[in-house]
Amino acid sequence: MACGAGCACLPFNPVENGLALFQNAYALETTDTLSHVKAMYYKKLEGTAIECELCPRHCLVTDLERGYCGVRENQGGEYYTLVHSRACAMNIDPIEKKPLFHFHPGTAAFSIATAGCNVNCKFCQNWDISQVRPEQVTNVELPPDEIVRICQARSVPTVAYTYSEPIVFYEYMHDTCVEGRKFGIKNVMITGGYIEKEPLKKIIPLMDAIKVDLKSYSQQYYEDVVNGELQPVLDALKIIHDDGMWLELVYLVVPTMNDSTKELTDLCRWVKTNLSDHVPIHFTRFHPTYLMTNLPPTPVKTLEKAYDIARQSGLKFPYIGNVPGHSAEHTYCPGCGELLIERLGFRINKINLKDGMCGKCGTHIPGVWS
Amino acid sequence: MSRSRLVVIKNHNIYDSDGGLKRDQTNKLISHAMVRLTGSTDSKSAWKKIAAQGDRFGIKPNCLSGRMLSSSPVMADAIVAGLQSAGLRESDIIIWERTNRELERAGYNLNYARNSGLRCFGTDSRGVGYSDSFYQKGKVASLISKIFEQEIDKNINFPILKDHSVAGVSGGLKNLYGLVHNPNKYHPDNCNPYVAELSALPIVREKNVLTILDMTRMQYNGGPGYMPRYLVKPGTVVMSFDPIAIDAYGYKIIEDYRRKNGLPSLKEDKREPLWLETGKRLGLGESDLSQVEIIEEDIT
Repeated sequence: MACGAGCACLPFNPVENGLALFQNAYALETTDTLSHVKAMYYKKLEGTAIECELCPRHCLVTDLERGYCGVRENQGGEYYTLVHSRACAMNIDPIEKKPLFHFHPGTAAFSIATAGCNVNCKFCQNWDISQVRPEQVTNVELPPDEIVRICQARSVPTVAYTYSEPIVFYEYMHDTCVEGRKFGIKNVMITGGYIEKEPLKKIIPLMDAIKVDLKSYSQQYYEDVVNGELQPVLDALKIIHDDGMWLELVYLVVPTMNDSTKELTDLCRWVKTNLSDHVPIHFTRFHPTYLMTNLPPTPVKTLEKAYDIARQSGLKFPYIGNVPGHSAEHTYCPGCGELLIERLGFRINKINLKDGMCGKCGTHIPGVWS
Repeated sequence: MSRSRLVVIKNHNIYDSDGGLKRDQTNKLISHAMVRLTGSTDSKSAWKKIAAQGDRFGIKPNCLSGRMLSSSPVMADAIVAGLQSAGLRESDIIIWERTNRELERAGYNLNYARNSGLRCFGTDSRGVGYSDSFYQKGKVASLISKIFEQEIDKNINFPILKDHSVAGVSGGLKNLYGLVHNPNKYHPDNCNPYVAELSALPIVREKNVLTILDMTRMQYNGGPGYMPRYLVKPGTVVMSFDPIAIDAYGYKIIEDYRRKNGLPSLKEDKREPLWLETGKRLGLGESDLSQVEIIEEDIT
C-alpha cells in the first residue's frame, strides 16, 4: 500500500474514533451507498468486458466483477469507481507524517483515504482499509467541495491523499485537486507509484508534491512481498522527477528482506543516476504487522547502515524514519553541515533556512519552502 | 483411497411454464441424486450420511449474477427439506452469501432471526462480517465470513456452472470466493493457485462436506455475468463429495458446449482452469475424470 512508511501514521478511521471529530464539526453523514461515478481510464472490450488502464495491472473485468483494487466495478460494460467522495479515513496530520520533509515544514495536511489498494504488501499497517472492499468499512460522504470547506475552516493549506493507495481513488483525488486549486489549497499524493503513465502525467500538474514508497530495488521482492512490479514504479519516479514535481522517497527497511548492502547500494545509485542526488530518501523502520508478524522491528543499526550507504553514494538528503530522536531525522546543509531543520518525530523544533538557503553558508536547499 | 463418485441426474420435466423450477420435480431430482451419491436405499438415509440432529448447516449458493443465473432458490429449498429429513431444525440451516443484496436479487428471502425458520443472510449483515484473524494457505491470506467460521458446523457448496472470463470455469471452488473479504486479490494468473488454495484451507476442507452443482441453468460463454445467448437449460443436478471432480466435470461440460457452438476452447482462450491440477496436487480431489466413478441417469 502507499503508506509504506511503516510508521504510526494510522488515520482516524471513522469506525474507531475519527468520525466524531469531523462529523460533529462538519455534519458529515456516514453512508452505506457506494458511489456510481464513471472511471477515467479503461477501454471497452468485446461484449461487456473492460480493461482497466489506470495501473500496470491492467485488470480484465467482466460485468459485475471488480478489479484487483476492489473499488472499481464493471456494471454492464462500463467501469465505475465505487469510492468517489467516500472517505473511510481522515485526519489533520503534520506534513512530516507523510513524510514530506522538504515541503512546507511545520504545516498541516488534511489527510483522506478510501478503501482499496492496487497492491497487497504483507507489511501494510493500514490493511484494514487498504485490503478491504468499500462495503467493509464505514464511509463518510465527503465530496471535494466539503474537503475544501474543512481545509478553509481549519486553516489547513494542503490536502494529502494517503493512508491507503490514492491511485485507486484516482477520480476522487483528481476532482478534489481541481476543486482545491480554485481556493489555493495544495495537494500531495502519498503513493506506491504503481500507476500507468497517462493517468500519472495527467495528475502531476494538479499536485504540489508527491511521496513514493519505493518498497525495494528487487523485482522478486515486489512479487513476493508487494504483489506488484518494480519497473513501473521506477518509470513513474522518472516521470515525476523529470516533470519537475517535488518528490521524496520512502524505503521501508524490512529485516532480511530488502536490507542487503548490495540492494541498498544499487538503490541509491539508481536514485542518483536516474533522479538526482537531492531527492530526499527516508529509510524507515519496519514494525511487524498484517501478514508479516514473523520478523522483528528493523534494528536501528540497519537503518544507519542504509543512511551511510546513501551518503556514500552521494545522496544529499537521506533520513531515518520511525526512530524519534535520532539525529538522522534532521536536515543538514550538504555544503557546510549546519543543522537546518531540527525535528523530533513529527514536530519541528528549529528551522534555519532563509529563502530556501542554508542560514549559515547560503547553500541552496532543494524543496518547496514557501 | 476409494474412487471419487460423481452423480449426474437429469430431469427435463423440472421446468414450469415460466422457465422456473417445479418444486415436486426438483425435490425428486435432489432426493434421487443424494440416494445415488451415497448408495442409500432412500432419501432420508442418504441425508443422514452427512447430517445429524444438532448439526448447524450452511448452504452457499452463487448469487453474483441475479435471478437468471444464480443457484435456484427452489433447489435450495429441496436441499433444506433433505437436511430436515435427517433431523435438522429449519432454524439450524443458513443460506448465506457475501451480501444481502445478492441474495435478494437472486430471489432468496432474507431472514436473520434465530429460531424462526430458515435463516438467510449475507456476510454484510449488521453484526456479522469477517473473522478477526487471517486464514492462510500459500498465496491465500484472507478473513473469512463469520457465518462460515462461527455459525455453521458443515457447509453444502451450492454453485451453478458458468463460464468465467478469468478462471475459465466458475463452479464449486470458485464459488468459495464468496467466503473471503478480498476475492478481488485472487484473480491474477487465471485464479491459479488461489482457487485451489482457498479450498485447501483446513477450515474449508473440514466444513465443506458436499458440492451440489445446480445445472438447471448454465452458461458456457461470456460469464460470470448473465448473457442469455449463451445460457442453456440442461435440467441437471451434479453432486459429489469430491470438489475437484465436480469442477472437472463442469469444465468438460462447458468445453462440450463451446465446441458445439463453434467457440474456442478455454485453453485456446488462454483461461484453462489450471487450478484443477493445483487442487489435485493439494489433495483436494481427482481432476482426471477417467479415475472418477460417474453415475449418469435421466429420471425424466
